[in-house]
Amino acid sequence: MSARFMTPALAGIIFAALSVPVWAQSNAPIIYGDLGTATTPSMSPKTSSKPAPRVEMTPENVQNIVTQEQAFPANAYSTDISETGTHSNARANIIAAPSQDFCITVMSEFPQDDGTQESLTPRYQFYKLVQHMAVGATPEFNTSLAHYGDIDVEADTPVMDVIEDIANPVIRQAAPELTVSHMAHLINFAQTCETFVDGQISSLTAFNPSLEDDDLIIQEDALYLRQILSDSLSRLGADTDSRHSFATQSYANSLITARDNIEFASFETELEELEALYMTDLDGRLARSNDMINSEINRETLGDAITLADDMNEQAKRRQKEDQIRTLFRILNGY
Amino acid sequence: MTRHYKISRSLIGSLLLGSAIVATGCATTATGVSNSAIMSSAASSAAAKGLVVKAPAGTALAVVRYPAFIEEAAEQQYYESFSKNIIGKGRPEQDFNSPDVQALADSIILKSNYFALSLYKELAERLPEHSVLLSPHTIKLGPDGKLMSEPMTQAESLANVVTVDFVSYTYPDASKMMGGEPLTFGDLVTPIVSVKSDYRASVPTQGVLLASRPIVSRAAANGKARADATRKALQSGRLDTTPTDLDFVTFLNGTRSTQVARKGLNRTGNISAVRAYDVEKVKLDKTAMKSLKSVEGKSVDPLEKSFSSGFANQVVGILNSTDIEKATMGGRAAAIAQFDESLAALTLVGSTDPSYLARLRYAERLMDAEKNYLSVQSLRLFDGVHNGEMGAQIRDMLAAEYATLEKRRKLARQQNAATALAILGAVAAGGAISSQDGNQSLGQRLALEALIQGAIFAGTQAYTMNRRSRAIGDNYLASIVPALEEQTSVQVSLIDSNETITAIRYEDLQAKLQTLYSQNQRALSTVATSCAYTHSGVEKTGRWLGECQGGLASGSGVGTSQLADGTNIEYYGYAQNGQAYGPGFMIYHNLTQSYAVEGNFTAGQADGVMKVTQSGKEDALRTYVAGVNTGKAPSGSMHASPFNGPLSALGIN
Repeated sequence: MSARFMTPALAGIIFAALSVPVWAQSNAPIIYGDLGTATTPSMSPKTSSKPAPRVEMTPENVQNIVTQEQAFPANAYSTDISETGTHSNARANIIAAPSQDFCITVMSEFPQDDGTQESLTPRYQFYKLVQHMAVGATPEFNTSLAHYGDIDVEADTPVMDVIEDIANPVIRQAAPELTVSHMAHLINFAQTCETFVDGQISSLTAFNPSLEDDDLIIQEDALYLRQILSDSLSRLGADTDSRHSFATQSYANSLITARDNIEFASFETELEELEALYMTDLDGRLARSNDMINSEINRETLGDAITLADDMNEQAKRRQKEDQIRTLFRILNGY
Repeated sequence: MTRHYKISRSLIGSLLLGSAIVATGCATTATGVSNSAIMSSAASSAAAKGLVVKAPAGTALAVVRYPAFIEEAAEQQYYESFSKNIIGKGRPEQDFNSPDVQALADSIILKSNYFALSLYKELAERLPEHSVLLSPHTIKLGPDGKLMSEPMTQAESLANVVTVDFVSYTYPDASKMMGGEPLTFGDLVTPIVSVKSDYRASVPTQGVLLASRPIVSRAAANGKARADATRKALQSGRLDTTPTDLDFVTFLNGTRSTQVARKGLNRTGNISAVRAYDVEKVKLDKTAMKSLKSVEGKSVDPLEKSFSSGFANQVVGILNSTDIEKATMGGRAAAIAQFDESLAALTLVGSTDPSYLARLRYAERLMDAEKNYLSVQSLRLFDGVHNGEMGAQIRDMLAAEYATLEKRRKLARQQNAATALAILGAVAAGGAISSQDGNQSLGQRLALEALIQGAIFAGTQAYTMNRRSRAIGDNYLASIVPALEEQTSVQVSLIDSNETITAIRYEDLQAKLQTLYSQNQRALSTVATSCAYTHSGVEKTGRWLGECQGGLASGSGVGTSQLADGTNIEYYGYAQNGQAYGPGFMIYHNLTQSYAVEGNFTAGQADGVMKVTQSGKEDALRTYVAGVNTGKAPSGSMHASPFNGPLSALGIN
């Protein structure tokens, strides 16, 4: 795929993914587990309010953690496995998720991490991208996708290849049904493996919250790919097919809402920057202005006035007292 | 000796008369009420549950307005108006050219500026962040030679739910300081207040919800002036109006007055009437007064416990019972019209159209940014005045006044004691005289003379005490004039400097926000324009701002027209073929009153169950057929309303 057909952000994501070392892109089924907290002490209270599980990284326990977190990501932090001693009974708590094999197979084709911060970024971006790509896909819409797509994408197809094919302008012009099939594959994965995907995203952002900084760009990329899907369906006549037009129209409407939200978020970001700039500036200017005026105030004026008032009051009292004595004198002396 | 007796008897007579006067109007010690009616009002405690309503995005809940300073050109008129249009009994003995009167007039501005901040602080503590704004006003000389006031900041250019006017008043005669007249001096404050919403939220009272009794009709006149100005603006296709004068300034002018129904401060029922607050001299917290000059003086608020905390609770109670949508729709539309006229009139009633909601969301966020900016400005204004040197000096002044007042109180008490002695002496002497039979012994005569002399002495002492007491305070006022001038100029510098800075920056911010807004807008599926609006009985076609079709009102918006009898009509809601049609809210303004009906309209006429709002009565549901009221609506009836749509696209603050 040529980068000129993609949004800059999408090109960036794919480029970043390609930069992941080949060894890290292996088909090893362990995905998040080998980020295991035993080897990543940075899962500290500083970055996550939830305590990370700590466990001896035996192969058995690693597999156990992987399975638990994938099945119920919330459990990854809600249960401190180390509290169960050697944890030899932990396997008894494993609950298999539906389509677990499918999910693990697809996830194995996502960019892998090598334990470094840099390798987490493409991994996060792809999970987030796929999550956003499934927005607005109702069961009725999935039926339409199944109807208009003409191939089943293999579970072990690298996710990057799938995305490249969706974004490929030649394919979407010449064989829109392929585009539909590829999108259907990713949407199916995001919906079927929702728990796994959420778990991955939560774990990665807990490890590095700054990964969320690019969410808006990822949303824009997902919208770009979703629009390609909507166009492809239109090209295949879904919007005029009475059996599928309602679902495809609803999907198209959801794209408008998504676009509105993305644009508004972008507007809000710009506005917040302006707001912060002006309010900080205003606050500083007014503080300086107040300080300057305060320093120029002649505080003695009021003090002098009050002293003068006191003096005048004392004089008045003295004068009245003298008058009083004179009056008394006159009275006592019979006028 | 005979002559001496005559003089003495004459003295005794006049003394007795004087004593009688003093005895009946015993020299007062300038007392105030420790427990203001505002504090003890039922509404105050009811409001203690806190704010239960929310304002739409970009809307302030309360704006505190007060006189901040006077332009030099307006000073003479201000002094003259202050000495003529008074709150209190009788006529002042001093003319407006006296330094004392002018010092009192100046001190009103200074003290209002300081004590208004107490209200601001208390309201800010009770209401969400950035929802209380300060609006200091400049008193100016209008083109008609009367006083007028203008806001110094843009705080009133945004929509708000209520405005609070505050003035700390003093009767324009220093010699009445120790009497019962209103006074703001030392530990005494006479608050003159009004709380108003937009007139559309309380049509029969012109928006006035609570006011000090002497300014009720002035506040209502300002509310009516606002309504008139709004209607004129609508007729010329605009939604904006300028803020009204401070109610106190209108009172000083003594020209405008509109009579509205009133009720007691404690009557918080649904009757459409202004809650009237009697004028009272509030005595400030003694402990706080004693701490004014301490190092903690900055954090001391002597008005808080005796008035402003209760008043803030009253305002919270008022906010809880105010129709937020009607109170803010005009202000919001006017604010939006400044950068998006196509959208502005549509917001009066609202819409669920996605393109409208998308656009409104941007507009509201923009207004929120403006509100937040103005809120920072208010905070700094508070900081500059209250925590700066000016605040420190006012606290010094209050402490000095308190000391002066305490001296006068002490002398007044001594005077009372001396007067009592004088009365006793005179009575005793009078008794002796009345018992004399002309055959007094030398001893008796000497004893009588001593009694008379004693009475005269006591009377003289009472008189001199009175003079001394009066001098104290007058002297204070006379000497404090230069300091007041200094304070006023400081105040001008402080606010004017801030304002120069903030006005420039605010305009700059507005320009940038508007550019950002314009860059992000997509087309509205329906835009607001101007077209014809008619109503049965109108002499000429009125104006409609909102959705139009074929040059006639069609869809939502606002219409104005005038009936043949001079009654002005404002209509907010839905229209068809140029007439009210569907849910609507119609306001009638005639010469004697304003009232409103809300419900369904057909071909311009009220039709069905309508909510009727009129002066002095509770809102009532009535049945209308073709515009005619046919009686009480059946029990359980409901009226239609044009305001059932989303109040805000962003949600509410």
